[in-house]
Formats: sequence, structure tokens, C-alpha cells
Amino acid sequence: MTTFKAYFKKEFIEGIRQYKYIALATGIILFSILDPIMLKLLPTFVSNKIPANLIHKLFEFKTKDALANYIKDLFQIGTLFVIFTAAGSINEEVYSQKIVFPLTKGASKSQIVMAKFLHFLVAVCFFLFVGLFLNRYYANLLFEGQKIAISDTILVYFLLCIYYLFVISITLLFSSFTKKNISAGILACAASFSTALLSQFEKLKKFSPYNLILLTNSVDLQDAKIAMLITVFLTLIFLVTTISRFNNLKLN
Amino acid sequence: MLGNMDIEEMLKLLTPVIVLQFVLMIFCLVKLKNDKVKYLPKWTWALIIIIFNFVGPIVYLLLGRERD
Repeated sequence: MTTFKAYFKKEFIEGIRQYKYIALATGIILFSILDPIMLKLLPTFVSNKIPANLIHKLFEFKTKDALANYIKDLFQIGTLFVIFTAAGSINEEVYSQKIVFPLTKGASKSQIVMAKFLHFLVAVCFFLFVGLFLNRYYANLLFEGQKIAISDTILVYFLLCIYYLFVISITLLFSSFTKKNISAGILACAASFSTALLSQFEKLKKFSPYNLILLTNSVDLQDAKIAMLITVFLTLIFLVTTISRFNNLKLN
Repeated sequence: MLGNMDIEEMLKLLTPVIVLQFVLMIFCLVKLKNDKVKYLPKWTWALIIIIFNFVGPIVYLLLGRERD
């Protein structure tokens, strides 16, 4: 447990020193503010090119559209920020030989991986919470129609947190298999975005972690049950594989 | 309620985001001047930071710097 605490603290300090929190905050929170404003401004931007009567039909956005737009950007861009923030956390320490000293002092490898995983999870969940509630505030402020309820925001938050469990675990897995953070990032992106591809097949859709993103529209936990279980199961497998890979890594 | 907001008011609303982008850009350009960089030359990183709003500075912070 001492290793876990020490590494959790170390990751926190490194997050500040390496500007990881700035990256996460930008990737997750920024779009929560930008999206509702841009959506609101869109009719004004296109008003010269489209007849006025069509603008109202084409661009009649509701509060839930602002939330849906934010979640879409979160998946497309926010995920990239999360992946590239976490991508170097194992390989950089191994190949720059910074990990050798704590290990020779008897640090537990599995606790190091768990501390890194939980640190990223806590950070991402925190920024997601802030982002979703900011988005709710702006969406309710700028758009007409039924307001987004707090309970809906919490359910969306819950689904997104589970999805990011998967994203962080797969990023750490690739980080333990590659030498450079950019390769780990590219592989993790490919794996995460391929889950969206999997969702194109109706029969496979409910098993795909990406289904959690899709279900944020309906906000029904019953429908998300299978995807949640599969995602948690995959996360555990990836974590165990990462720990086992980390245990077998030859350190100079 | 801001239902009938005109573009000037909306731009006022966007001001924090624009200021944030500007601060992030300046911060990254100052860091770039003092940092050791990787993958690309410094001038290319400077262009990335200036051209790509928000994404450019963050890509530089995450991928472009040699670790301390």
C-alpha cells in the first residue's frame, strides 16, 4: 500500500509538472463551454448563405442537442487528449530508466500500475464532472425547450466515466508494450475508435464500449447493462495484462 | 434568459474562451523558447501552437517537449 500511496502522489506531482492537467482540462472542459455557444451562433454564421425560413427549420437546437454535441466532441477530441496524456506514463519511465530506483528499493510493480490507473481515472472523472455540469449550465441558459435535469447529467456522467475506464486501461496497456508514447497513443486511439466501428454492426453494438457513448442520448441504464459489464470486464483484463507485462519487462 | 441574443452579446460570452486560447498560446510559446523539443524543429512547433487553436498548444505540451 505504501507504493500505491507514494506513486499516486508522485503521479499527481508529475501531472502538474508535465502540464497533464492543463491538457485534460482543455480536452474535456473547453468543449463543454464552446459547443453550446457555437451551436447558438451557428444560425448567425450561416444566415447570409441560407434563406431565413430554412434556418429555423435546419438549426432549431434544443438543450439536449447541446449535450449531445458536447458528448460527440468529447468522444472525438476529448478521448485523444486523455489517451495522449496517459500514453507515456509507463514506457517513458521504463525506457528513461526512472523506474529502476523505486523498484530496487522494493516498490510493488502491480501497485505502481494501479496507482497510475487510478490517478488518471480520478483526474478524468473530475474534469468530466466539471465539464458536464458546465455544459448543462450553458445549454440550459442558451437554448429553449426542456431543461437538462441533474439526474440525467449524473447518468451521462456515470456512463462516460465507465467508458473512460476502458480508454485509460487500454492506453496503459499499450504504454507497457511500446517504447514511445506516440506509438502507444496511436495504438490506443485505433483501439478506442474501433469500438465505434464495432457499433455499426447491429448485433455487436450492445457489446461495444462505444455503446455507452451512444446510450448517453437515451440515458437508460437498463440498456447499458451489457455494455457496462463488458467494458468493466475488458478494463480488468487490460489491467491484469498491463501488470503482467510490467512484471516481465527487463529493466536495465 | 438569453434567447434573443445578438452576435455582439454572444462574442462577449466567447471572450473567456478567446482569452484562454491566447494565454495558452503565449504560455506555450514562452515554454517553447526555453524547452528542448522532440519530433519537430522549434519553428514548426511554434506554427502548430499559433495555427491550431487549443489543440496546437496541448499537442506541444504533451508530445513536443523533452521531459524535465
